[in-house]
Amino acid sequence: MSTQIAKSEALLSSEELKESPSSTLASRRGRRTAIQELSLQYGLVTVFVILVAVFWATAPAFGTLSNLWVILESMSIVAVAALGVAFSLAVGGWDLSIGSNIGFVVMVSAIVLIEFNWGGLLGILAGLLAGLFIGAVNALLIVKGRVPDMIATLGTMFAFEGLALVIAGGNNVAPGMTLSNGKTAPGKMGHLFNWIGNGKVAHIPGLVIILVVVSVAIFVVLERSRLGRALYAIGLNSEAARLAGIPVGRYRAIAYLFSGFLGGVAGIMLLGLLGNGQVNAGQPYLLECVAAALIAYAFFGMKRPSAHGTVFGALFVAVVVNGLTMFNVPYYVEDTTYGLLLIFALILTFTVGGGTTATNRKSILKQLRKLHRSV
Amino acid sequence: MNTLAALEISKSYGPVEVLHGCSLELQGGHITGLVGSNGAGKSTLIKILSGAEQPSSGRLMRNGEPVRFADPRDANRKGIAVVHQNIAMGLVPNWTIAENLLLDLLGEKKWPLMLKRSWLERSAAELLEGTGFQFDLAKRIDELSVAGKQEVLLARALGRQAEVLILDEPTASLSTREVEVLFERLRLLRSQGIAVMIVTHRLHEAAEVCDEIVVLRDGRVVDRLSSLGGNESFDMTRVINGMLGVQDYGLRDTAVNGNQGTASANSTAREGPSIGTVAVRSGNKALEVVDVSALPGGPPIRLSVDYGEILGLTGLVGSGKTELIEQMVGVRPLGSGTVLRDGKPWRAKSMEDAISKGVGFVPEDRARQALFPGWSVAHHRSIPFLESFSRWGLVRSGSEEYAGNELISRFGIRGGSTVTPVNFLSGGNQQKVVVSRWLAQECDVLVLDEPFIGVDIGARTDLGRLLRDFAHVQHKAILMTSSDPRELVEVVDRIVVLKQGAIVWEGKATEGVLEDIVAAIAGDQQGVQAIGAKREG
Repeated sequence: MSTQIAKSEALLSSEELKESPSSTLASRRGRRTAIQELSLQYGLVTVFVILVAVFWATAPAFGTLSNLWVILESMSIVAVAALGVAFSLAVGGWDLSIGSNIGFVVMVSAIVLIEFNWGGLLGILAGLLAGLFIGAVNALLIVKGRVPDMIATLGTMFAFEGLALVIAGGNNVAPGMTLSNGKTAPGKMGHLFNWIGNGKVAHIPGLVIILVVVSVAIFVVLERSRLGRALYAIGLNSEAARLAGIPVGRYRAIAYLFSGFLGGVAGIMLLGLLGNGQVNAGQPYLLECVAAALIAYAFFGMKRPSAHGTVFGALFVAVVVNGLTMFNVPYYVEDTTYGLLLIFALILTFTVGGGTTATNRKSILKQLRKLHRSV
Repeated sequence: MNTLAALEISKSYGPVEVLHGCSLELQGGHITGLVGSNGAGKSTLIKILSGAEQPSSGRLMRNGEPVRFADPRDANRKGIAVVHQNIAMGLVPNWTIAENLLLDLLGEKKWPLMLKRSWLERSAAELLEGTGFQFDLAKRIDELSVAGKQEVLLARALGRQAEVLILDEPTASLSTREVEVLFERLRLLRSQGIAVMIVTHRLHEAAEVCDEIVVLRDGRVVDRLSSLGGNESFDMTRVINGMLGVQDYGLRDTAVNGNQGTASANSTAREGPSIGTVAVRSGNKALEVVDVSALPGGPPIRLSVDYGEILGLTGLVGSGKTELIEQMVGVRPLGSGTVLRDGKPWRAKSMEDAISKGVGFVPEDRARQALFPGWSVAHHRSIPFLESFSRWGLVRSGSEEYAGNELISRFGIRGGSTVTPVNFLSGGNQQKVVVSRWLAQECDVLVLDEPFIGVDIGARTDLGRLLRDFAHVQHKAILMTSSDPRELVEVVDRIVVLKQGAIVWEGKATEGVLEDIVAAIAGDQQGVQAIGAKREG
């Protein structure tokens, strides 16, 4: 039918600017009302500003400088890992393994530091390689093995969560612990990791510095680089991308490698913060990261994953959780909060905005259907 | 009397009218064929006949009484059944035949709460009673062939007491033998007084099984042919003339078959580059295929396009045009034979390779294959050539912006600036963006698949002129396909006609050749062999 509509556009003169976006591409519901358009563009930011204002006015501890650092620190790990998720979303895919990626990296780095006592630099290197390895496995499964993104990363999510337990023997890896041969673990966290977790430069916490560096770099990659442009092209219309000469498979693999690498960075940050390799340390992060990366779709009505939107998403989540803590809302309400925030952002994007750009919405629905079928 | 008739049906989507007063009648005991090229309005007409869409004006008549179908289910209750081209749409693959036969009952909440195999088989058997179909009811759908699945759909429609059966491209994925079986089945249904309509682009099949052929073009019924009692064969030349609209254009002084109204629209379309300025072939081959089969297992083809010329490829749907050119640029794996670029064997593995060799490609389906929804004109300009628009891996937005502006001013793209999302442009201007970026980047060989689909008349004229300038002035090679020979005559220098994967005609593009092209498409296999012999000799 679309070809016919297109064909009969022949009846219209070429100068005529269409009333609504071409029917072949955009939603057929016609124009959005001004209110819809406004809430799509500024809804998320407005709600954020209102929330901050309410917390500030009602909770005296909220508006302090030290609390600002607390919020920024608590969002930093989520934001870095969520930027990884944004890469997978950009190519029209998913990375559900991000949480167990963080947990796995925490364990690998902790073992290198504490059991092997190889020092901080090698600890970081091992962590990053572990993250990249997960990214490579995902890329291999998805690009070469043609396994749908969501299911593939669901598989690696379980596999690496389990593997983290296996290499740690099921226990936390902490300095001074007793090894299986009865000796005491030789290593300690070391200066480097202590600085990552607790260090400051001119009052700015190390975690926040890493967050700023990583987000600026990823912003440049996604928004300004050739690679970023190609990734978005694939996510919007992979067939058109292929016919424009973009090696779709290679770039999708690169997207998952980025995701794995950023998971590695986040894992190293988390280990620095925790001070030891805790079992299942990565578990809470999947929900937060996916929420942050998807909230980005509603950031100024962009309807696509982005670096700045994702960082904002992480900030939004952190502020809400921080504010609720001020009101003594118990910690176990957090997950519900993430879920509600995510649903709110999705309603802004899909219900009010009439969906993301056509292809992307379809790809998300397709993924969900695939997942549904597979379960 | 079992009839379904459409009276003066028109259908508009927004400001765009796709059907203009179509009338036709399906009669019990008749098989009607509906033919027409891409975009003629066949599927819209089917949707209206089956209740999936409402006509904007005009009426449907059922057994002589006015009728309105609220939705497909309502039409179904009134005896209309449709078997869609996409067979998978109507079947649940990992269910049994019995379950699939009873699928509609599930939708009507008539399945028992606790499902028993005995109930399923009994109800399915009841449904099949009198339809003449027999199945192994416990077999799963995905174990059946395409033809088998189609039979299940047919049986289900008939079991629901369908009196009017509409089949959309029923033979598209069947083997010759399976087509025979299907046609036998349709003849049997005809003898039972059922009104059958098949929508098809395989003309010889329509001629074989139909009692009447209705030709649709540009949303109008332009011709209606009947074979008296099935004894007389159809005049295929007339059918193809009707489909392609050659008669009211090139051969305007000869008989016109009820297609008034399009002539005026067409004459405005022809105010483009003048016909008859056919370039002399330079003999300098830019792109050549040797022994390549357009369709899998088809005859080997030899074809070349020279620098400085535009070669047009035409033929009906299924003739292998798209398959051939996609193999030439490397976006479809080369089945057999060799592709030569500047006389040297060349095997492109992807569009990336093709671009690096100066070969550009404009695919057929703009929305699905070329556009990125929400992206600006400038982004579309640069995407195939990102490398030349970037430094140190970063896209130079300044030069991208500049190129976007250049594209807009030089190629007359109207309706927006460089930052306007392309989906806000009209179809014609979208196509100008997609085509002219290759001209702006000065590729050496440009291959275009149906570049004028969904393009308005003004933009089509502009595009034709741009392409001719590119080939003749800048001395580049252009290869384009179109299922409308009139479009080709307007733009190209030389025309090659494909039929079932074989070249059946080749010649200069002058106005007088339209008749020959129609004859070549209508001609039988002997014609193919005759030309083959001539080429060898």
